[in-house]
Amino acid sequence: MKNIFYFIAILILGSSQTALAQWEGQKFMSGSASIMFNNNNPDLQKSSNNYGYSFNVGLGKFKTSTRASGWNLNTSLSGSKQNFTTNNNGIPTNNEKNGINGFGVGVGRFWQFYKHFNEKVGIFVGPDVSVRYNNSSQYSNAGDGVSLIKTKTNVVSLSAGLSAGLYYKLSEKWWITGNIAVSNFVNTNYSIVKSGPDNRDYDISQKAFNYEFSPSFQFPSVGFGVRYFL
Amino acid sequence: MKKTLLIGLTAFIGVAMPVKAQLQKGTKYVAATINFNGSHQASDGLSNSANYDTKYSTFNLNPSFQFGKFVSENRMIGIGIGTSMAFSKSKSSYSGQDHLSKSGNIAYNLSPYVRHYKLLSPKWAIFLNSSVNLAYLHFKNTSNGEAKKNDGYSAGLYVTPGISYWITPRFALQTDLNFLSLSAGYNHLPTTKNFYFNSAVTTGLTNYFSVRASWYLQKN
Repeated sequence: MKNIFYFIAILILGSSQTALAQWEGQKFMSGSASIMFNNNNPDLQKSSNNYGYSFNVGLGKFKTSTRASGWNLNTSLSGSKQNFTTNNNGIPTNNEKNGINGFGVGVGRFWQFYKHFNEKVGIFVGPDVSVRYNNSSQYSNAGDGVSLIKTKTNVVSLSAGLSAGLYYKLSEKWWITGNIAVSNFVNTNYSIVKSGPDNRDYDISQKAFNYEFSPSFQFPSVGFGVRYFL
Repeated sequence: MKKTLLIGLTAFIGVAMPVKAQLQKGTKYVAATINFNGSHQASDGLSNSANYDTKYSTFNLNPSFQFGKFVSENRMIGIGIGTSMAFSKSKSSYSGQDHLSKSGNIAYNLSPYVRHYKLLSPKWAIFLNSSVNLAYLHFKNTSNGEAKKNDGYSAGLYVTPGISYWITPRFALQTDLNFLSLSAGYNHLPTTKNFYFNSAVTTGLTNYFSVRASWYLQKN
């Protein structure tokens, strides 16, 4: 792992040390925010809806002209009102399920090393680590048509990777950034899944631990974004 | 973290040497890569009013090494060795009855090769690797203590281009490219015999590359 940082530092600094602009101390942010609500009200059936939000914020700071680090924070939530029909002794029964059914939160740390080609354009590469927690609680119809199955999932995942990108400076405050390549060479996750008929305690419980190490990268890995300097 | 970065920085600034690849006759070459993944699962529950309990785990490990020596400028001969291992184990009990099964599949690869380099810049080079791949395959399945073994072998010819980037004169990262590939081979397993020929040329690169660490060692 240490070696990797060493390689990256060397890779990025390349053969020239010229810093064309003074970025030191500058703070920047990037991110995304979405909220949604959807309601469906058919004539003959009961209404259903779903809703949720997702926020993702990246905050970074240039420590020197060629080095920046920062944090990524994200959180999401979803909920719904759903209707499931079950047959109890031949009589169709509507089961209304209402409430929050998913939640996620994650935090990541990133380091970026820059090579500024000129006043406008440059590239950056760096490692990142992140940890994330997700849970969900879902209902589904059981195969027998009589009962409802509820499934509850908890997942904790840890990952480490490298990413490379380039930037174009639109103005003093705004940059356009683009991804070039990504590598997620370490991935681990632990999950607990419990499921069973709705009216009883959980019948099935499953625990799983997955891990992976793979020194590989994806190229090109295209994604564009905008960055704002505070 | 900070310390390693500092080491990286000072290594670079302090030793601002011109990185030049060493591809002269006599240079020795060692390369290695590894990847692995695994999964462990445990589940228990109630099925048809009977308790059951299962544990399932898998582990895959793929290390590979290459050793070579430059016989003239830009031309290397060498040998690659590697194994691909896939293990799985499943243990279950259902209403008091236990069942244990294990499987282990191992392929041992031996691939002598000839490689030609072309330097694009002091740091970048492309190469063409022609190799013969010989593999011995070993399969073992055990179910409740009863073992079943199968052996097989396969041989193939491969031509693969690649790209190399020197970080220091002695150390480089490499990846194989897959826009050109030629392979022909023969698989022999107890129940099947299979002959194949594949060739592919494309201008579209797939976007997934695995990386190999390599060292170029020269006696000075």
